[in-house]
Amino acid sequence: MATSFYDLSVPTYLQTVSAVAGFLDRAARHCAETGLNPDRFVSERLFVDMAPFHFQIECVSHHSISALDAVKTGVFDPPGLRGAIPFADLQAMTADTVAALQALSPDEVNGWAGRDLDLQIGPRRLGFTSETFVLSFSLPNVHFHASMAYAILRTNGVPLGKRDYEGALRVRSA
Amino acid sequence: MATSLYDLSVASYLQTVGAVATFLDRSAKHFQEAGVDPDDIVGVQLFDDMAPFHFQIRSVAHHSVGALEGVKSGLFHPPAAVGPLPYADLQAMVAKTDEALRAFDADEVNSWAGKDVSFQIGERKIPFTAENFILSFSLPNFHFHATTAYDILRMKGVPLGKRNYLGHMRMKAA
Repeated sequence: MATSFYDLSVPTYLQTVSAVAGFLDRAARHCAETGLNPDRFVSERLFVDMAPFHFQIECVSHHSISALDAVKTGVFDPPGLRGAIPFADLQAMTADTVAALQALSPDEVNGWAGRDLDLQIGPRRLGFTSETFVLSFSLPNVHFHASMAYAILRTNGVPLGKRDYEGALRVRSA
Repeated sequence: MATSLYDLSVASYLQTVGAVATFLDRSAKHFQEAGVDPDDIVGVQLFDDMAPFHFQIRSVAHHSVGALEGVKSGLFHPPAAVGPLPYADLQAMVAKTDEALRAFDADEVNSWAGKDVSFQIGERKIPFTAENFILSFSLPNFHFHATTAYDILRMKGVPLGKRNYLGHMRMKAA
């Protein structure tokens, strides 16, 4: 029972991007309860030379929906960085990514399986197949940035736990 | 072109376990140059209610080679609670994990495809297929802990970048 390209990618991204959407909402609610402005998180960093929160959230979209666009078109071309936009705009961006992932049909995505990709990613030209691009490049990046965003919220006092990071697990139906 | 259970799991774990081994070595070198005792790092947390460095590294082993053992037996358990270990022992644990992953035979791992695997926490059992156990439960946890370990080292001043996290990506031979 091998795994189709759709099952490898779309539900995997959806689980974690939806978890990110969930913990962004939890952070907004925490702010509403404690009288804080959630925009205070936008430029927070874990360490002085690490990337800010807004960048981590943008990268979650770049390495999920834009990764699938790259498999489809052969060009990795995520939207330009938007900078320190309001927290509500980061929530909207993440919700848009969830909706775009949900709109992909298994037949269409499975039609992109096994492609040879030769992608310009930053300064480097990297050769992957559709599958190794998702498993070896995109998923580690999605989790790297999503975990970093989670850690920034945790270190700023938002009450989150690993279950919030895991999101809705794809359990077997009874 | 569907993806086998071996390619999904062992190849994915090996890439990131190899990256963790390398950034632990890089950090040991940095601490030596900076006159820091690496054993002072093992108890460090990102935030006071988050798990310490040694737990993050143990979890990388638990959610990779431990996950495959869980698939084999059909049952996965949370890691045992244990105290801190010396930094060199954490390096040895990661090296051993890498070796154990390499020892898995592709045919044997692929023969577990479609198997029922449960995560048992106390009396509760969360049921998965082998594939969803890896994609939905194990890999998100694995990357969560590997990223948190990376974050702790970054916050302690180790000069690491995202390339160190990504490790050897599975690119096509030129």
